[in-house]
Parts: sequence; C-alpha cells; structure tokens
Amino acid sequence: MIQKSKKEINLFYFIFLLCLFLASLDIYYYHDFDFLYYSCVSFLLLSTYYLISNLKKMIFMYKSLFEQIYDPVVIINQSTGEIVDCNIKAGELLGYTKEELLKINIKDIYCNSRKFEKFKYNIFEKHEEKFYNKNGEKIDVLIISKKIELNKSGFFCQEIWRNKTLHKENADKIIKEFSELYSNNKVLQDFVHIASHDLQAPIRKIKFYTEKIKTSHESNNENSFYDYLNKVSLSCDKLKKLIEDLTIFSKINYNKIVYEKISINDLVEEIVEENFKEIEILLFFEDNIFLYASYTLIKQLFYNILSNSVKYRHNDRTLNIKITKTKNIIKISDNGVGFNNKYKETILVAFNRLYTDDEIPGTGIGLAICSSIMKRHNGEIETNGRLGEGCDIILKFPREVII
Amino acid sequence: MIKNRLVVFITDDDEDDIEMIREEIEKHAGEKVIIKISNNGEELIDYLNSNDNLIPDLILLDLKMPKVDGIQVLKYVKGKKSLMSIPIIVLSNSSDEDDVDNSYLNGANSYVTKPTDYKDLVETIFKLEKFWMETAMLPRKKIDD
Repeated sequence: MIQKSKKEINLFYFIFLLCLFLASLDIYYYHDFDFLYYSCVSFLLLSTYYLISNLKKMIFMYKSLFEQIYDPVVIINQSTGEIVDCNIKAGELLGYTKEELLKINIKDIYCNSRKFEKFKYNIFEKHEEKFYNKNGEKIDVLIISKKIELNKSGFFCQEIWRNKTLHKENADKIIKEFSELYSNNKVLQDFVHIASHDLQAPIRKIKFYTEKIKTSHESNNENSFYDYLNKVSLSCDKLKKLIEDLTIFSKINYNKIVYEKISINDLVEEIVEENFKEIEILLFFEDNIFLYASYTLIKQLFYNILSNSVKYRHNDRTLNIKITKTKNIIKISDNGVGFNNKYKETILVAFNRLYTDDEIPGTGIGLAICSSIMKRHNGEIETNGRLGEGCDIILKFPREVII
Repeated sequence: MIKNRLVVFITDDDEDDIEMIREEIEKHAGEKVIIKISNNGEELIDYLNSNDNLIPDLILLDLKMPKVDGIQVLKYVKGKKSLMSIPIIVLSNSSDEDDVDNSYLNGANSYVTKPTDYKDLVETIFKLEKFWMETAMLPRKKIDD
C-alpha cells in the first residue's frame, strides 16, 4: 500500500514540475501569470482529493487488519483509562462484545486497580496482569504494550493481550506432540534395527543352502539335494510371513482411523468361523460388548489374540476362551500353556519370543501389533501368564471407546 | 583322550544354524572338538552352574534368543568370577554397529556376523583358541576321563 502510494506521489511530483516548466515558458513568452495561477489551483484541488481518498483506503485497511488479527489488541487512553479502540478478539478474551468493552474503563477490569495507576506513567513493554472477565472470574493475561503519543494532552497505549493459560496450553500441546513424534521415531529406529536382524536370517539360509545344492548336485547326492531344496523353500515361507507381518505392523500407525460401532461377540465368532473352524474352541461371553473403534484394526487385534490362544493351546484339554468386560477393560482368558509371568513385558516387544521357531513357529510380531493397535486407540495392553494354566490378555480402552 | 580336545558350546535358537555350524566344525576339525548344544541362554546358564559338566573352552553365542538373550548371558558369564575366563564368540545375524558395540561392552571376545560360509568361523575359533591357550596361559580344567 505504502509502496504503491509512493509511486503515485512521484507521478504527482512529475506533473507538478511539468506544470511549473510550462508556466515559466508562459511567463517568458507572454509575460502573464495565468497559467501558473490556474495550474496551481487545479493541482491543489487534485492533490487534496487524492489525499482524502488515500486516507480512506488507509483507514479501511488498518481497520480490517485490526479486526482480523488473531491476538486481542486494545488502544487505551493512559491518563483516563478509557478504552479508545479494541478488536473483537479483545472482547472475546474477557467475554464481552466489542461494543460493551468500548464502554468500560480499563481500571474496572484490573483485579488490582492500583496497579493501573502504577503503569499510568511508566509503561512496561511486557508484563503480566490479572483481569476480571464478564463473569467476574480472574484471568491471567500477558500484556505487550507500546506507547503512542498522539497529542501533548495525554498519551495513548497500544496493548496486545494474550491469555496466559491458553498460551501455556498451546505450548504444552506442542511439547506433547513433539515428544510423541520423538518416541515414534525412536520406535521406528529400533524397529528397523530389529527387522533387519530378523530378515537377514532366512536370506542367509537361502544363500547357504543354494550353495550346498550346487555342490551336492555335482556329487550326485540326491537325498541331501531334496533336503536342501526343502530348507530353501521353508526359508522362503518364513521370509514371506515376516514381510506380511511387518507390513501390517508398519501400516497401523499411518492409516487413518474410521470409527464405527463394533460388536465384539459377533466379531470373535466371525474370526473363529473364518480361521479356526477345524479346532475345537469353547467361547464364553459374559455379556454383549460393543466398541466404537476402527473395525479393521480391532479385527486384526482379536485375530492375533485368538490365533495366539490357538497356537499355544494345551494338547491335553479343550481350548476355552473367556471374554469379560469390567468398566473400560476387556479381558480375554484362555486355558493354554501360558507362560512365566516374568516375561510379561518382553513378549509385547516386536520379535521377542519365548519359544524357538522349531518348537512353535512364529515371527514374534503378533503381540507387538496388538500393542500398537491399542496405542492407536489411546489404550493399553497387558498380559498375565500362568505357566501351564493359561494366560490373560487385558485390554484397557479409554472410556469413550467402550459403549 | 578328552583332555586335548576342545569343548565348544553352541547356543542358538535356530536348529538349522546349529546344524550348519556343527557340520562345518566337524568337517574341518572333527577329532579335535567336542560340541555341546543349547537352544537358549537359560539352558547354557543351567549347564554352567551344575558342577558335573565339562566347562566349555569356548562359547559360541547367538544374540537373539527366546527367554534369556545373548547379552544377558554375556553379562552373567563375564560377571561371575569362576566363569569370566571362558572366551565367548558372539555369532549373530546382525551386522549393526550397536549390537557389535553392546557385545564388546559386555565382555565378548569376538564378534562374527553369521556367514554363508563357515570356513572363516572355524579359523576364528582356532585362532582364538591358540591365543587363549598359549598367550593368555589359561589354566586348563582337570578332567581325568
């Protein structure tokens, strides 16, 4: 705006000089002052019009800026305490409308009115105050003030008010988000480290056995030849399963959650019907449980928990799975082989297992996926094992998720 | 005579890996070595704690195992006066620097990334044995049988 008017003023100046030049020619050749007189008058009129229209524009711009700015801004007559101008945000901060605030004397909203007297002549650039809002509650306000002298009779003060508690809340929010980001990054780093570790093993085996196949082929040893081929194939299967599980695990934190109402009883029966039809399972539900959560994630969660129960079932007895709800906690108990309770933390970490691959095959990612899904729903997962008797998986959901 | 034979203890959760290592050691130094095996750290610690067993001359240790992992075994063995003189070679899938540092920090004597060819490993074992027995003058265990 100012840049633009500078250009226009330059144009005015140029026209004025041109007029003076023409007027001097007029004086030199015709010896009269008519041209000078008329040009001066018309120039005066034109510049007044220009100034007024420009001032209008400036006032409009200033007003809209003043109103649209995010922070509450007030202009105060410092000698009387009268609020000369303020924007809508300033009113909102104290619970007034703009018009109401303009009628108020600043002394009245100061919790300690004597403090205003103190600031009457000494203006601090930055200070904290307590104001009363419309309902008479105290609010902490951070004030950034600047003195503006308009005339000699008194000076005005332009103040930016900030709600200190809100300010602090915002800062806390940023800190929280940052630390979340940091811990996510840490998890990702650990994950890459362990994943590379576990992915290396099958690849190395494939390489090792193919080398063996080469040599055994040369020596015509057919038995070991098929044995090695079989090992390569098993390693490939293991690699495939690992990559599948890793894909699920990495997706949990990045896909958007679509919340919907889920009946856990129906979901569990559906999972059992789809996947474990050939295994005898007795399901017990204490009552109907409903969740308001992501269907795909919760299905994955219960699939992993149930498949663990099936995988680690006791061979001497029928598998019983009991699902109960108390307040916001869902407990899934089984009567499988269980585990020593001292490992209850370690089994939740990715790739940690309690059995070797030859005893019971697995990738060690299942419960880590469950833990991630619970975190995504702002919940927690706990395990509780009794060696030889079974285990409990305890899912703690936030209150708004359980219906 | 067992006296002159080296007792090597392999601790790994992967049966295939154990088989590969055993095969390779037997191929290159079958008559010189007695091989003992455990599938996890817990078994190894139990083995070391019972008095009737041969104390191993060398432990080949995997890092990632169920229940008690390699680092915990290192901490246990190297922290116990009667066992700290047993050399340990960490044998892991990982070539990550953190794993290497962590192993050496906890007292590992050597770190070998699991190779596709175990010739190097056998060489390392015998180099380490030579160093251990001749240079470090480790007192050998008394076995009559």
